[in-house]
Amino acid sequence: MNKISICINRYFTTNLWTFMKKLFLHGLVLTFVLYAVQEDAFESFGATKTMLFALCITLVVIGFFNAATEFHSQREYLVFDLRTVLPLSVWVISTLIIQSLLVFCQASITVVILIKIFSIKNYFQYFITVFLILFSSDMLGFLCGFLITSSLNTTMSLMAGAIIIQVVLSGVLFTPTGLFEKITKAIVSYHGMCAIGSVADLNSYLPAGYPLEMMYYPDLDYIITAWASLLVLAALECALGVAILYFNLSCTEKYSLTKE
Amino acid sequence: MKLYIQSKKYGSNVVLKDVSIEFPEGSATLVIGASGGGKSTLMKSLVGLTKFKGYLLKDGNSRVRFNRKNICYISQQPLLNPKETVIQCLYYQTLLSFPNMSKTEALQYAKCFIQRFALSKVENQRIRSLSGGQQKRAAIAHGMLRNLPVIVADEIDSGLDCVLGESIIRDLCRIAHQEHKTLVVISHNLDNIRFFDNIVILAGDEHGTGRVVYSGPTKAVLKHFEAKDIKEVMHIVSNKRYRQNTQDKEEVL
Ligand SMILES: Nc1ncnc2c1ncn2[C@@H]1O[C@H](COP(=O)(O)OP(=O)(O)OP(=O)(O)O)[C@@H](O)[C@H]1O
Ligand SMILES: [Mg+2]
Repeated sequence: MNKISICINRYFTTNLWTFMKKLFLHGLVLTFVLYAVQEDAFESFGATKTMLFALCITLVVIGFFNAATEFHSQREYLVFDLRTVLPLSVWVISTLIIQSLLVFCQASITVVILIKIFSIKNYFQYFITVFLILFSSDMLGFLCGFLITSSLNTTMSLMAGAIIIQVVLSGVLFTPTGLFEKITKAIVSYHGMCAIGSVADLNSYLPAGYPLEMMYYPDLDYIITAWASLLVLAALECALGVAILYFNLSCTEKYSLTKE
Repeated sequence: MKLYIQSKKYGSNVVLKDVSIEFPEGSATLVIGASGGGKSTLMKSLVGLTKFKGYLLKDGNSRVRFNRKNICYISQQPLLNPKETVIQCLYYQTLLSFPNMSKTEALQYAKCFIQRFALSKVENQRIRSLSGGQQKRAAIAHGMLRNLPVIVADEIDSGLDCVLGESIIRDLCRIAHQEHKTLVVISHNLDNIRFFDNIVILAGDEHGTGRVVYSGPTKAVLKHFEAKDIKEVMHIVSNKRYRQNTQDKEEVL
């Protein structure tokens, strides 16, 4: 407990400015994106869908870069600390607290912007959805930051790849079938679109007579399932990231005791 | 502490082979050898940062493994958070190392180490804005403040001027003797050899694999190689006039 507060303290003494900068940039980028796609949003189906898609992808990208670059740059001395004075569990818990705090602030900013531009009503549902999308992609960034050990360049291309996959398999550009349908289960933006599409009640903007799109089924149970999927995804990504880190720490510690 | 490395490979490149070194408790040991000869690799094996075939025992007689948690390792390239200032870095390291210490005590303690390694002038500067030698000193202070029984330092005086380098090495050796700590240091500066009790010389054999050509008291090294000074010893060793036979003994070719 004591060590956790030391870690959080330590983070904010050196990174308070970075933290604020992230929040500021988040607000700026999101305002820009939402203004760009606001026309006809919450009036026609197509425009609303485009707006939600832009929102969702922006959130995924922002969440992803919250963590990815930061952890990659920390990696070297972090591993050194984890070997010596800093227990892994302490670091993981304090990191989760810090990242949740960051994501909480970003989600609040997002909802404020949404209220300002679109006067949305069910902002609590929006808040939870936005929070979970950000958190889930944050954890994806956390995972990618530790996946590649050698150079920043490799990590950068990996990150670009991850973002492209998120865009393509979000379920908006085409309806994935077969193998791709299975893959979309592990895609943050897909579950994000499901959740935010039904929170915004996207189907109600369909012209009369059109069949409902099941992906945005407007039902509280459906929304909760999508939220749960995002949460599970975040937990899995986090666990995998920690496992990679743990493996990195422990595998070099082993040595075989051979006979003289 | 006794380190035995049967072999240490990177891929198919055998870097170290048949290395067996005793580091007596409370003694200062200097490790020298050619650049790229495997000194850093030896240290990393010692502190458990890399896998190798072999073991690290508490002493030569018992078969008890040495607990690596007792080793403080100062790496060749300083590994500190570049965003933190020197005082922050040392302060938080103190807090994490000694959870029972109060905040004021920890600050006092960190300041103590800043003074000791002549960092007072730059204590509020970020690590990334320090010179190479200042970074190195910050890293030494960062490692030393944990007060562990074994100190392993890779190229401790690289980037330091000879006066400062000598004073830090003299200081460390004095601490080792006074507080009965085991000190293992890599250095390319042969002038400081007189402060150390023991010396380990690594040299490549005909395949380029690193082997220990000498491991013993500093006093006896010149006699062993029949050389007039330590530089001559290094020349003898690097000219590969030495080769190990099967009994692990050195022999002039
Ligand atoms: N991580 C690694 N992967 C592959 N090869 C390595 C690795 N680290 C070191 N080597 C190789 O092992 C050999 C010994 O390297 P080492 O760093 O131990 O040398 P050194 O004696 O410390 O040299 P210097 O005095 O220049 O620091 C070198 O040939 C190097 O190429
Ligand atoms: Mg080296």
